[in-house]
Amino acid sequence: MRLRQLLAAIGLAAALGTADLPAQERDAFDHGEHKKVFPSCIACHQGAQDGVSALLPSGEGCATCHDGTIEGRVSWTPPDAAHSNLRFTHGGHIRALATRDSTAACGACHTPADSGWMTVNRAVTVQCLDCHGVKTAHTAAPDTACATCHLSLPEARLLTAADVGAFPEPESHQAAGFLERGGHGAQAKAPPGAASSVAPSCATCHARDFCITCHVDAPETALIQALAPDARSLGISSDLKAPAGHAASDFLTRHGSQSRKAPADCRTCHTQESCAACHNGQREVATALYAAGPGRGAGAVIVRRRPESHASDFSDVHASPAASRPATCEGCHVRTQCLDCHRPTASRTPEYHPETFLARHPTAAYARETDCSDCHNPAAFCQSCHEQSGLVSPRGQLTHGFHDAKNAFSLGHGQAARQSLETCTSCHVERDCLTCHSALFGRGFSPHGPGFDAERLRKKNPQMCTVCHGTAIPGG
Amino acid sequence: MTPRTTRVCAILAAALLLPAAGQAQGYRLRLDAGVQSVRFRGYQLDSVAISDVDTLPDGSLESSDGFAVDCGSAAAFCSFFRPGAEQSSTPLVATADLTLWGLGIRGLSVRLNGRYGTDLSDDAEWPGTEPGLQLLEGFVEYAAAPTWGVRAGRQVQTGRLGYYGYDGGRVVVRAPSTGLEATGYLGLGLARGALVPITSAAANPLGEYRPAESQLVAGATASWITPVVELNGEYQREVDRTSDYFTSERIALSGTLRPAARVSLVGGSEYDIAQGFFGTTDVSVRYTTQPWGAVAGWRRYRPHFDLWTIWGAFSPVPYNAGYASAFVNPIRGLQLRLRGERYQFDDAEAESPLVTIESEGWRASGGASYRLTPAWLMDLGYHKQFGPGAASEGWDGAVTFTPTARVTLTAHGNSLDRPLEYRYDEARLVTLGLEGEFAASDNLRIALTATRYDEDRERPDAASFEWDQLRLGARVVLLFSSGADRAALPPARVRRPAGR
Repeated sequence: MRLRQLLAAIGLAAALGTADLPAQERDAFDHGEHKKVFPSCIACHQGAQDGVSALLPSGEGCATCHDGTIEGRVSWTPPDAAHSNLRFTHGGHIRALATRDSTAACGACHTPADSGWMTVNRAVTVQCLDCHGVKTAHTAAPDTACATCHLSLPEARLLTAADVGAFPEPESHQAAGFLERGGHGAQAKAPPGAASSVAPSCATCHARDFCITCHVDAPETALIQALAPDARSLGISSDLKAPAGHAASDFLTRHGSQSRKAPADCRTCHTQESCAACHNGQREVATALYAAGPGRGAGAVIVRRRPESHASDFSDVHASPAASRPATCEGCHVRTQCLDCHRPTASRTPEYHPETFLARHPTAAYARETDCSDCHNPAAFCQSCHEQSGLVSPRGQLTHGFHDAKNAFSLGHGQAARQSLETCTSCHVERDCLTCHSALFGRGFSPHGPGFDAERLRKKNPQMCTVCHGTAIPGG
Repeated sequence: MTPRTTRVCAILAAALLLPAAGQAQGYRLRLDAGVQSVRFRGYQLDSVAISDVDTLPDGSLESSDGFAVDCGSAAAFCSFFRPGAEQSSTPLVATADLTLWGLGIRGLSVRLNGRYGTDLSDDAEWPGTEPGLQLLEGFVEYAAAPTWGVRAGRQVQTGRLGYYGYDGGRVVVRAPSTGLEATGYLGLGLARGALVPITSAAANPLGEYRPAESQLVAGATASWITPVVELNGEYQREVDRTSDYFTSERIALSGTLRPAARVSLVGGSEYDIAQGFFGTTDVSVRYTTQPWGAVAGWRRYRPHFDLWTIWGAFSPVPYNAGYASAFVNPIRGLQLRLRGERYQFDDAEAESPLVTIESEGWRASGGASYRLTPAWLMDLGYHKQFGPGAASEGWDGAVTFTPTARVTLTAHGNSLDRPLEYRYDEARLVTLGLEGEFAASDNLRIALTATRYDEDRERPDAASFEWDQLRLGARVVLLFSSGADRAALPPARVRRPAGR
């Protein structure tokens, strides 16, 4: 009976050696299937007791039964060395438990309570914690307890990045504020008198490389530098989450002043490059931050997005806000982007206007849906195209025929002209109008209408008056 | 090799060599070249002896071959416009945008933004391609301290008074802790909305009256920016250097007030000191959240004419418009939009006894965007407007597929009905198009477009016609950078099928 228990314990110990390794990665040996064969653990796992022999048996012993006659032949080889971060030797534990039944000693760690013989698990964590006097859940254990069983990550040389990625996540990592100031940074400080400045609870799973995935200020942060570098720590992935304050509706408006007041808050996660994602025309705003470089993280990757004020029709109404705060616009926009529309090119497909706008533009232009002259020079743009299309009066000779749907349009054009004078000037020059509207020649029809301040205009620029009135400017 | 081809090659070669010249410095160079193959069809002025004109039962006049004609009063000949010949053009425009810094003096930078345009076809000269080489901006800036800076060269002054180019100098003084900033500038102005002086033939294709010299421009701005209030005041005057008279003198005030989160009140107004009236003015209130937003506003539009023209003496009247727009995102990925505006012109005080002219109008549009998956985006829009001079109605839609971050494919279609007041011309247009954009790398983007136009001009006379055409386009954007600047910038604009 004692031998059976010992064998079971050793089997469990073997499993313990592969603790935290997914079962499918080990060569399968069904202990339960063999529970009537082996009376003890030690027969197969002698190394657990003497510390010299192999911990796991070779496959040759299987042939004792699996010889093709008694049982079918099998092929079994012991798995590779244990992938473990346990600070653990079987010999030490066996000796510590030697005063008791050795098989029971194996089962103390590897057999869950109330389980039968040859029920072999990895180390039953709760039983480890019980023995070591830890009264909390495994991942909530105090810092002083972690190093009792676990090596720090750089010390656990046999672990792979995949092993590290399979570590359980402590509940504390989900607590509100864990990622923010006073959260994981404060918890990472070791208690006074500890050998390392970094809390063992962090160093068990993490190394400097992991911190650098987020921390732009890693080279300047002593706590991060106290951790050894270890690329396997990247087996745990971490998404940089924006602090709650970044979700505020006015965050975009206020983040500039906030960053000036407390730049250290920003440079934990942001490099100069993250500012440049939007502030491509104002690199000086990022001078308080670190530039991306070796030893520090890339920082928060900013996805440029439209501010809430930039709703779908913003391009139509942006003139006033842009005029009232040009510096704000320059925070995100470079001048070239303005020039793309405000100095349109001839060959490019339209960007502000829809594809068919050329066919549609008379409607928009007649009623001045927007201020065309903000981007287009009426002469260089409108007249030159209309001239090419045969839509202008030939050099000051007023011709009839274009406004063909309105008989006698020219006799009643006054209202249309005063309402849409810019449209008229895209085909007509002053000489067309002076055919009738001149005091010097033509028919002498006055063009002056509501709001015309002759005295003011004469003072500002009498040359304009002389075009129609010559030197005999009324009131002059 | 033709002289034009030689020029194109020389400019491209020079642009490609610039990065090498600046290797020891910080630089950023964007080259953007686009070419289109387009056809267009205008009008041909024609005339016919009045003796050859028929009078139709409704009293209208028609030439013997069926064209509606206008005979004026006591004229021997009548005029009419027949459809013009189909013309082809292949305009090419290349833009080089270069910024240099790290020139050995902290705060010193150089900026050059030039454009070359030409028409590669022999049939026609595409408008806007003369002069071929145009300088948008070219200035040296010194801004070593946050409290002041100077800039000299060709530059653009932006603000409520418009987008204004000039050759000259600008000084900026700031008090960063208070949000106060003041600017003063002086120089020789360019034509409005153009890259050439007012004296350039390109800015005067029809031979209008023009000043003999470029105007002198001087201006100043003062702004105060806080998170709650933003105010900007501007003054600008232009003076004819030959006569020393004003060609314009205006002031403007713009402001934004944010009384609460998500609420902004925006407004601005221009006052024409030279002519003594308020120009374009607007005020709007906006409330925007992620799921919905709305804007309501009033605006008054009045065109501005310089005093070297006589157009201001024709007393253009403004219109007043009330407008509102809203959007809502009822479910994830779906956005619905609505916009409406009604406007009315001030009394023009012009009698039109023989012609009925509208004095008010309206515009409305609506649309929806639905992002089915991160890769698929669908847009649908409808617009309709009616007002003085013209009306239109149409649909537009687009489906955008983004299989990878580097590839965007768009299929779009539009329909348009466009009746015009004042003339016989009821055009119906249907377009179907494909666009493809490929970002070969962070520094190279290529775009290809193809659009088919089917147009039907419906008129009650012989000038009606149907025709279609295929427009092809290609665009290449190259970005060179010293690495001290970020290369892969996202676009600042969002494409949408509807727009003005």
